This record gives sequence, structure tokens and C-alpha cells, in this order.
Amino acid sequence: MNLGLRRPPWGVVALAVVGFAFLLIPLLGLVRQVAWGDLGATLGSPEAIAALRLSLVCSVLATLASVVLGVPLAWVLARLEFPGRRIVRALVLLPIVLPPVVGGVALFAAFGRSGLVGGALYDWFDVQLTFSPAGVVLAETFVAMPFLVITVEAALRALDPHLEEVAEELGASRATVLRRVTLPLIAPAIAAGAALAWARALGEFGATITFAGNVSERTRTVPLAVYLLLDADPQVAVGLSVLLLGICVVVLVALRDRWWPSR
Amino acid sequence: MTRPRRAGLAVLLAATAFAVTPAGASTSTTAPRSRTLTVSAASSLTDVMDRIARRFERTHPGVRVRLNLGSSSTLATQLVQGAPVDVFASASESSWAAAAAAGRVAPGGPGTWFARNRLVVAVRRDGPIRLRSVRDVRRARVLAMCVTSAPCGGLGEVLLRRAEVAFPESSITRAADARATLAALTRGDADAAIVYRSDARAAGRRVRYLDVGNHDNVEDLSLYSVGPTTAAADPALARAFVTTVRSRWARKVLLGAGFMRPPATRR
Repeated sequence: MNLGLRRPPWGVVALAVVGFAFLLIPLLGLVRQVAWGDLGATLGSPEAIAALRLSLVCSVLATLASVVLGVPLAWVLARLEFPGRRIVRALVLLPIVLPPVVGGVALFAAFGRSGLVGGALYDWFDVQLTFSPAGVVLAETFVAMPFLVITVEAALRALDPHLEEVAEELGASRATVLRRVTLPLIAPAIAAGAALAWARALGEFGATITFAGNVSERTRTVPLAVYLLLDADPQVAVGLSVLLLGICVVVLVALRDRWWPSR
Repeated sequence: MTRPRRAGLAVLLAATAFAVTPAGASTSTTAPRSRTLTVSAASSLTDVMDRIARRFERTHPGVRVRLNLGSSSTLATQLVQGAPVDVFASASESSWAAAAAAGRVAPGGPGTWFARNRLVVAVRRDGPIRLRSVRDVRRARVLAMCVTSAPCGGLGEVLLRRAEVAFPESSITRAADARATLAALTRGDADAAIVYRSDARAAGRRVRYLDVGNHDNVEDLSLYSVGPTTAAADPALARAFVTTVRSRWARKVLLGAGFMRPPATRR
């Protein structure tokens, strides 16, 4: 869309074209590698199906955990005044920028068999999170929840406070206001945050392989299968890659109204 | 845009250019003075190659050796795809053959062999498992092994089959290469690992290991090959490095690290 500039700044446009090509070319390269005729059989192999099933279950559970814990966290950050709130928010958002493998090492220090929390779990309840599907969910939640929190918190801050005040003045209890006014108003943001968190959980690699290892049907999610099959079975690796790419495109299209302000 | 910002951008660009150019320019302007040799080596060779590389740099002033470590099958795939590597040191004949089939290295044989290695069962010294036979591995809640595409993974399958230990795949965590498998034991929560004897030695006092298998059986052993690649930028330098790897001194280092001699060949 031309905003009325009579002379486009050609240098800027040239760099923009280079930037766009840089982002697009790897995806074209991936798509070109796919043996489309065999894709069905490739994705139907037991190895691929096991990885897909595990990825689906774990990422959905991680998204649910993110919503259950992340929405209250977003509400506290948006609505309560307390000392150190900015520090708490920074810590909540840290996993977005933290290298996932570092997240995995940190999770191990906390939830490994000799970790802060994991040690007690193992000694008292004989529960081992490492190398288990629960460990995958833990790792995925750790990296995905901040995306939900940041999205929902922004929506809560943008909310017109009068709507809740009016409801309260009309005699609604705080729980009713939350349930009948606040939550419906931020529902689209929760959905968007959940989609974002789900996409992030689905693609998780570094924290998962560091914390949960690579156990067939238990912790070998699709990204791990892609990485480890590149030597042994490149066709399956490429097939799974392009499937993940497709899922990401769907998420992007579903969220288009939030990210591509239509003009 | 205000002035200070523009200055900041210029500084950033200059810094980037400064950071980027020396690496790219060095090959053309100062090639004879500082040469870099890139060596792709099986991860089980990590410590040994480190020592060999340091010695080579001492005896060849101006040469820097860069190690590219990983599973032999990954390294072979990289070579097939045209990775700019000067020397390939593989832990298995099949990975070597894959690179040779693509014309990246000369065909393997006694002339490329330089060591052998065998698998052991390793447990953490402070862990719950006492090893008396390979069957004790069954008491491990999680067993660390290499991915089956890596040489140590393929051999591990043979080891378990020969010992008639049926270990459920759902309790095996598969690491990308030999050293990553060792790390799952020494720094992770795996109770046992199937790794090379040299890896178990490298872990020092942290692990105990049990020698298993029949060492006269060639199928139970990893055969290491080394040679220059056909893409070597400086073939003479690559050959010199290979000579060091196959030298009497390196043989002593390898044996000390827990490797075995290559098969005796007729002279």
C-alpha cells in the first residue's frame, strides 16, 4: 500500500526485498525437497505416527497448563500493584529469549532426579520426570507459557475498566464480574495466546532433548524425530518438517486479524 | 532520524564489518602464514583428537586445526553434501564407505585404519546399579544408547542381542553421538549407558563399566579410519595430519585412552 510517497526510497525497498528473500528461500528449499507422491506413506510410517501422536498430546497438555496457570498470572501482572512487579514480569517473559537448551539445563537442575524439586519427588514418591512424557509437557510449558501471559496481559491492560466497575456497581460479585464480564472480553486474546503457546510447544526442541531425552514413543516428539532422522531417513525428516511448516501456516492464518491489522 | 542515532548505526555497521572481514579475508591475503585445517572426527575421538591437534599445531607453526565433532554418520552426510572438510576420521567402515561412495574420500582399507574400539556397559559410580554381568543392565530404569544410525548405536543393538537382553525401546533414550550418550549418564538421569570403552574411561571416576562381548568377533568392534578428503584445500597438509594420527605417538595416546590396535595387516 502506498502511503502517498511519490518517490519510494529505493535503498530501503532493495534491503526489504533481500530480507524477504532471505526469509522465504529456506522454506522454498524445504518444500522442494519433499517427495510429494510418497508423503502419505512417509507420514504414515510407525516412527512418524508415534512422534506425531506424542507431539500432539504433549503440546495440547502444555497449552492447557499454560492457560490454567498463565491467565491468572497475566491477571495478577495486569491488575495488582505490588512491589517488584516489573521484575516478576521480566522473569515471566525470560523463557521467550532464553536459549531453550539453557532452559533444559535449568529444568534439569530443578526437576531432575537430584534437583531441587525433582529430588523430593523421586525420593518420596518414586516419580521421575526426566525421560518421561510428563517431562516433555514440563519443558514445553516452560517455553510456551510466557507467550500466553504476554498476550493475555496486553488484552487485560487494554480493557476498558469502566465495564467491570459498572458491573460491580450493579451488584455483581467479583467472581461474577470475572466470569461474565472480564473473561468473555479477553477470550479472543486467550485463544490467540493459546494458539501461539501451542505452536511454540509443538516446535520445542532444545529444552525437550536436554531435559526429557529422546525415548521412542515417550519423549521423541516431531522436532526430535526430524533432527535424529536426518541421517537415517531424510525423507521422513523432510516430510515431518513440511508438516510442521503447514501447521504453522494454519496458525498464522487463524491469527491473521491479530497480527495483520487489516486496513 | 537524528544525528546520534545515525552515528550509532554507523558504528554498528563498522563493528559488524570488522567482525566479519578477517575470517573471510585471511584465506587470500595471509594464506601461507595462518592455515586452517578442518578435521571431521567421530565424537568418541574428542579427547584424543584434541591432543593430536595440539601436537600438530606445535609441530606445524602457523597451522590451526579446527575440530568438527559428531556421530560418524552425521559427519559422512555432511561430507556427501559438500562440507568443506580436509580430514575425515570415522568410527565405522559403513560411514567411511558412504563418504567414499560419494567420492569424498578414497576407498577404505588397511591403509586408512588406525584404531578399534569396543562397547561397554557403564553405570554411575554413585548410582543404584552394581554391574556383575551385562544382564544387570535390565535393572536400569532408563538406558542411554546412541541413535541406531550412529556406529555406537548399531553396535549397541548387536551387543544387546548377543547378550540376549531384551530391553524395551520405551526405556532407551537415544543420543545423537557417543559423547552425548555418555553425558546422559554422567550429567543426566540415565541409570546405565552403552558407550565405547574409551568414553567410559574419559568419564573417569564418575562411572564404573563392565567389559562385555567377545572381542575376537570383528562384528562387535568399531573400526576407525582416517584420511584426507578429496576436497582438502591443502592436500599435503591434510596428509601430514593423517600421518600424525597414524603415528607411533598417537597410537600410544589411543591405547592409553582405551582404544585398541587396528587389525594386524601383512607387510
